Amino acid sequence: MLKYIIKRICYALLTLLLLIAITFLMMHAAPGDPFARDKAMTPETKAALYARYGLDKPLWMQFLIYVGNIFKGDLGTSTKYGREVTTIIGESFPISFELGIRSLVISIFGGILLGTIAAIRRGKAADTVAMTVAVIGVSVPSFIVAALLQYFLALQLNLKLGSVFFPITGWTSEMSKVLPAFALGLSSMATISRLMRTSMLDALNSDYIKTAKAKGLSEKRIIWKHAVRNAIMPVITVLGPITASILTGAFVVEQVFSIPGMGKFFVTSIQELDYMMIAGTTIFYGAFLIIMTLLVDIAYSIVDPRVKLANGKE
Amino acid sequence: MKMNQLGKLALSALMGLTMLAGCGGSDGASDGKVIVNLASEPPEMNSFMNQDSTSGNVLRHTVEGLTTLDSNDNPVEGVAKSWDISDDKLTYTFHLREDSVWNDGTPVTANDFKFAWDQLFTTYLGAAYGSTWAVLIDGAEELMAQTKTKKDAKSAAAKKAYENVGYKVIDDYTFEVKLTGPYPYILGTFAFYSFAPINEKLYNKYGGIKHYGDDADRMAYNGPFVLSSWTHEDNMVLTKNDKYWNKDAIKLNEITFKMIKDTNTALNEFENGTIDMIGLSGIQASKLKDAGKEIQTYGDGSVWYMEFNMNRPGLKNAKVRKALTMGIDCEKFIKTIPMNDSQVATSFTPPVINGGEFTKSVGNVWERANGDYTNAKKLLEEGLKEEGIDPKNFSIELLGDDSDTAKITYEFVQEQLKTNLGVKLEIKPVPFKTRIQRMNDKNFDIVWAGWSLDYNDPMSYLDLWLTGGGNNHGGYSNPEYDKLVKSAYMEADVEKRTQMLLDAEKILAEDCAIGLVYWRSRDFICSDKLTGVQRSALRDMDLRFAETK
Repeated sequence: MLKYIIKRICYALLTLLLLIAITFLMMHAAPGDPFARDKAMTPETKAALYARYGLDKPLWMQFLIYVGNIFKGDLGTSTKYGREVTTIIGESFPISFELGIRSLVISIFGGILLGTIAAIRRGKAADTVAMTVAVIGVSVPSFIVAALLQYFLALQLNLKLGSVFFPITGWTSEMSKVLPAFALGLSSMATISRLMRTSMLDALNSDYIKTAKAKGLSEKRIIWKHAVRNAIMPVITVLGPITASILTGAFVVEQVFSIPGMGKFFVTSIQELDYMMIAGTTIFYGAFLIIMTLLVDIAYSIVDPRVKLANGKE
Repeated sequence: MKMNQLGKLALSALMGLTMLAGCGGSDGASDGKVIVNLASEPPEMNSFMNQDSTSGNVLRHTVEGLTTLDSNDNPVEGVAKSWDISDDKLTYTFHLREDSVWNDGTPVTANDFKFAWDQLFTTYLGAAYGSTWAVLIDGAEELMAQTKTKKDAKSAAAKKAYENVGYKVIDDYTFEVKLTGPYPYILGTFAFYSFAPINEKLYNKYGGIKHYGDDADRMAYNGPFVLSSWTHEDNMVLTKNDKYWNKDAIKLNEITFKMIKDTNTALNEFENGTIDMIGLSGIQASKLKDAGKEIQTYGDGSVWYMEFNMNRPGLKNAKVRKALTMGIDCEKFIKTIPMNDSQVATSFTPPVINGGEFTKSVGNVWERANGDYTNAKKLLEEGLKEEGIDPKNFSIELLGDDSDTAKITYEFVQEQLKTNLGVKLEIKPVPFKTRIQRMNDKNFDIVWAGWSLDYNDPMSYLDLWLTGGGNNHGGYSNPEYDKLVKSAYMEADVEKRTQMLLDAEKILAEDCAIGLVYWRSRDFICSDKLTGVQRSALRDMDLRFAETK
């Protein structure tokens, strides 16, 4: 497995280098000037700002300097805020990460539970309710879910109770983290529950379950020990993309709940043409997702011993 | 485990995930403490580098210049307790108060102004407002010319320029400024944060050009409040500065600026009682008005218009431009888009300037259709004929930003021109930076644009349309207009100067240099506990003299 991991890390570094190169080229090809504003600036002032941020040098030189600086842990300075990109990421990513983890926990456990219940109670009320939740979760965008949760469970509930139960904005108390995490995780929870339901139904109809039943095992043991463990495999497979979508898709939820996370920088830096911020966030997320995918692959082999990473054989 | 037990487990697990311990929230206004919505993170808190109103709203409370603005936007004493003006109105001698100190107790001296202004006019540092203000101060343009690079700034010529520039330290508490013209608005201009003092020692201690203003503990304060904490992208807490010379006039003890961008979220916070002042969208304001809430409004000083590219077919003809301007029902526009007390513009200079006297004197010089588009259609036909364009083939593009509000605006204009004049207008929404780029490249037919003031004088608007001006993207040019505005620059006689600018306004309307639409107003609401908030075109958010009940 070690050989496989080293190989994957080498590929990851190569992918990152390619990502940096493509990001660099694309952001510089985008029309517009990072220092453009409503009121005109003299060419001399603009030239001074370009020089200050090292944007006056040829693109290839900027690229080499940038790559060199990455190895020193320097992702440059934001042209919009004048602060180091690493500082901004350092402040905002832990928040987005925590939000993401909370959402993942809600989506994974909630999804598996809902999917399992729906499969076990197939065709009954519980199934209908679980799948209705799933359809709503998949089809209603997170910003609407976020706005509805904020309005009803924060504002209206607070007004009814006469005190603040769920804060409307912020990321301070535990309660302030509940609604954003749920709003962000609902869609993934729905995806997982639908996947889990299908997969669970397959598992429950398998011969080994019938054998287990014939052996006289308890229903609890059959479901949790045999059926769920096998049915969960497709869920683990989609965890990589789901993690990616939760971590990079937090922008809207962060905005609705006014959470000082990283989602904003990832999206608005492109509109602002904040070059160092675009490159910094892209590389950071890129590296993060590559690592996450690698970890998921390793997790896969642990859950299903038939998957051998080292030689890729099953 | 039975299945219904499993269901209960599922439910309790989900509840458990969501019902975690703890409870947050704040009390809103009490004990002189208020929470207001700033809406976004201030991008630049270094006063001489600043160019945006968000940072300006915070800086207004934390730094003070030679003068400051009172509740009518008139300049009053700030760090300067008095000043002498020479007979030719070109030299101002400021006498600084000795009780104005930085938050560490260091006195604010004339050297702090000299240092800050030197930074402002040192080109290579990149202060966006440097060139705007350099034209006003004797020797400042020369200083900017000699400091284009770091190397230049160390040259003998630069050293001479730093020495000869028109502002001088006479002694620790006397600062002299020589102007290039007898500008009647200059005292108000010195209240602008670009001209705020900076203590050189503290500036270097806090990281100089790279880091000064990055964090609460990376800047010095001489205003009524100090920034005691700054949680980036979330909030800033300002506490009363006990060392401020006029501290007895300050009633608030603490201001928390929240950075809630989403207007619906901000409204939820307000209705929840956890925030004391928020800005409102037009829809929100009208709903709250209907619910009997007291909404406050102020003219934000911005004027909105269609800028025509004079080099595009048809648009160089004044009749065509006039027809397109008349083709928009501006009253209907205000009822549909901003949905507030914004006004149909009757001059390019809005009434926020000099208490509205100038705008009143201009009168209504812009011709509007008032529901009858016969004349507009006739003008369009004549104009296009003069340009050799078949009206059936006349099609133009409207360039603008790509925000949701902006798109609705363009769709309204598109529909109006089609219905009222039969003109086909293509809409081209692009990101802000792209729009500016295309405007600078003169790559547009018509662009939806706005302009706001830098200082309290019609000149802050009217010099925009000088031939070759950096913001005159459409290429409008009229020698008579240029002559009037340039003469007004140097005219010391107030009456004569005002007449020149009034005449310039009339030429602008006659030429229909732009398609003038409206003066924007903004709405906001305060909690019952917060009073005395002042908002104006020059002071977007001013809580210096606010108090809590």
